[in-house]
Amino acid sequence: MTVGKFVAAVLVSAGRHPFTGTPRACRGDAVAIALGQRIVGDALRIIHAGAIDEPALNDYLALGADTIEVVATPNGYDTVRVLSGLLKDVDLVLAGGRAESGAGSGLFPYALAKALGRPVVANVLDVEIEGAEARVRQFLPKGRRRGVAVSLPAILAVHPLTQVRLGYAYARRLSGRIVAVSPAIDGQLGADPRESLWTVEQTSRRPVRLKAEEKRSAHERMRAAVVSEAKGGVVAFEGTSVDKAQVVLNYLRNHRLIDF
Amino acid sequence: MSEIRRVDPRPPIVITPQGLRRIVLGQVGVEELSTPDPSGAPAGKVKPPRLRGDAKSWVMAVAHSDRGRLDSHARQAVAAAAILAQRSAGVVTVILGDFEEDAAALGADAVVVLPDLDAVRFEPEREVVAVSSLIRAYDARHVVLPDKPESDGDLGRRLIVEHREPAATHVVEIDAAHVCSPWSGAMLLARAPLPRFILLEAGAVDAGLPFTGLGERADTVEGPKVAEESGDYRDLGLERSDPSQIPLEEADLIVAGGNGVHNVPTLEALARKLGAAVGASRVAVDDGRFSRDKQIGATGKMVSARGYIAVGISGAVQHLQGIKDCQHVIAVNRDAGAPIIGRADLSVIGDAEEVMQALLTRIAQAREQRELPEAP
Ligand SMILES: Cc1cc2nc3c(=O)[nH]c(=O)nc-3n(C[C@H](O)[C@H](O)[C@H](O)COP(=O)(O)OP(=O)(O)OC[C@H]3O[C@@H](n4cnc5c(N)ncnc54)[C@H](O)[C@@H]3O)c2cc1C
Ligand SMILES: Nc1ncnc2c1ncn2[C@@H]1O[C@H](COP(=O)(O)O)[C@@H](O)[C@H]1O
Repeated sequence: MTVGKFVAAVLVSAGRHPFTGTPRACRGDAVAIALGQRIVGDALRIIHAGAIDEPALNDYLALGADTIEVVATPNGYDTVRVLSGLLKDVDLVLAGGRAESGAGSGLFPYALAKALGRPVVANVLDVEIEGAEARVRQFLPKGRRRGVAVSLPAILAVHPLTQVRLGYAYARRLSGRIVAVSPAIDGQLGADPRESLWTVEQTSRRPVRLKAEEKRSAHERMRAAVVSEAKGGVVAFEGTSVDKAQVVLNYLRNHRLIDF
Repeated sequence: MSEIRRVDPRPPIVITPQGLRRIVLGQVGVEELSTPDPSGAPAGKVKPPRLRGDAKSWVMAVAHSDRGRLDSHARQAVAAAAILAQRSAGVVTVILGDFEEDAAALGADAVVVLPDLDAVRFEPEREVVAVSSLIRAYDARHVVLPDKPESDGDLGRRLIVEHREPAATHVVEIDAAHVCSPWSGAMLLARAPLPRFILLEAGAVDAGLPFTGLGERADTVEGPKVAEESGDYRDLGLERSDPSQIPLEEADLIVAGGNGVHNVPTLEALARKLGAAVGASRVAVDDGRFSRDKQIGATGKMVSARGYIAVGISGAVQHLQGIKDCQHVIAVNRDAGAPIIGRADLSVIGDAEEVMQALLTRIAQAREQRELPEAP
């Protein structure tokens, strides 16, 4: 697919502030733009599927996007199909890990990868292009990182901890352009299967935790109420400090907290 | 004196196997105190199995193990599967990685362990093929995974797009009929009928179950191990960073010092030898012994290390708040009455410096005996 120039694109979604709902750039997507620019510079394409007058898009302009291509998705049409038509010739697609509006399921990059038949790697901290592959540094918990080589073309979902500099410039917000592009797909569009599943509740509330139903006798309930469970573990009083050190070492070993 | 007939004021009782006291009238007998069950467990605590008869259908839970165990998030996924299964369906738990626990206590009726697909290696294609074949083999009604972005969440999303079935992610509320997930940007919940694939947030389910599963190993299922990676992904291996460099919030093992630590270099040497990060209590930080970014607690950092060694820390509530997610707490303290002793799983009473020095010596010996290289 890479005959001519290397093409990279970033997918940006309509960000929303989690509490107020104010339109803004989705942090993960803004990070993806910065990472993309680090790889291909200004040649990066920036694409949004949705309304052309989406207010959040101006924020992306201010954060460094020159031109944002918007492909219309009339009323919740299948964004995956719309975008996969547009991304056929793109070697590297970058996305955020999770959108801020709607379900924010983080499924989008995976669904796109499936539709295009390409590999997808999530939690990406850094990318380097080496020939026909992208060498990716992946976030893992507990301070670990993993290297993965993925063959191009590929889809990468960036991790929000990716080290990038985000600078907001009002001048860019004014000078940047938002252009409409046509979806370039044939056939009938269906509704987005991901969104139709959900009905949004009207009032906010706390979720209810699932607990197994337990039939307990009055005696057991009484006991549970009055007898507090003995808390606290083993206490080592006796012995020399060498013995005590041994106790600690055994504990660490038994619970595999150390690997020697 | 001896002429006086003494009457035992207590009526004769027996203690039933359920642990209840029963007064037995018309029976002159002394208390048949305690008929404890042979296992030594308190009477009445034996949990009944959930499944009655053969499983008519299956609910599946899938999770990666961490060094042979499931963490609390993964346990919740198994518990959710067990509660959704109700009386007639079986729970099959698919564990990617080693597994050394009692599956029955988790609520699983059948366990499939795939030790060569652990979370350390990145083999998404093999995992999808293996788990998909099991989903088909068991014809699982529902598949529950913990929504951990790095491992099970990634696998879950790959399964969802592979199977093109209704799915819910970031599920915070679940019961037999529906799920709820947060609807971003509005502080509202969105509701959906119970889908086939469920990616569960931590805390959505209480993992304490009043019943057990059957816990049978079903490792001999044919098929899942044959798949090969297509070559689209190549694992380049883990890079292990210096524990003293990684942020405290991410650390797996922490050695924390408090007011009882007078010799900070000893503590730092110990942390280095154990491959642990260094933390501190507020008093020790205020005192200038540790930098501010090391402070753990209500006004410091919240840590979730698997292991936490508190040296010379009294365990004030403000400090304990910061370590509430730690699994294994070890306390080294001179005072057996300090609050940290009530929180710790293992407490060593003694002088901090002495115990730390002894530990350093023992660790050096242990490493020598096994001829293992020093930690970097
Ligand atoms: C609003 C507020 C917020 C706070 N936030 C935090 C916070 O975020 N984090 C935090 O840590 N604290 C916080 N604190 C302070 C907290 O209440 C305690 O004062 C503090 O945690 C105590 O620190 P410590 O255990 O190191 O010291 P101490 O309470 O002095 O305890 C020292 C312990 O070391 C033991 N000891 C002494 N000498 C030795 C020895 N040679 N060998 C072995 N053991 C020895 C003693 O028996 C004692 O148990 C907060 C307090 C307030 C009011
Ligand atoms: N309508 C959209 N237009 C462009 N990109 C999108 C759109 N929806 C989602 N994305 C991308 O997919 C990522 C994950 O989205 P989601 O799966 O909806 O949480 C986002 O961070 C975006 O990068």
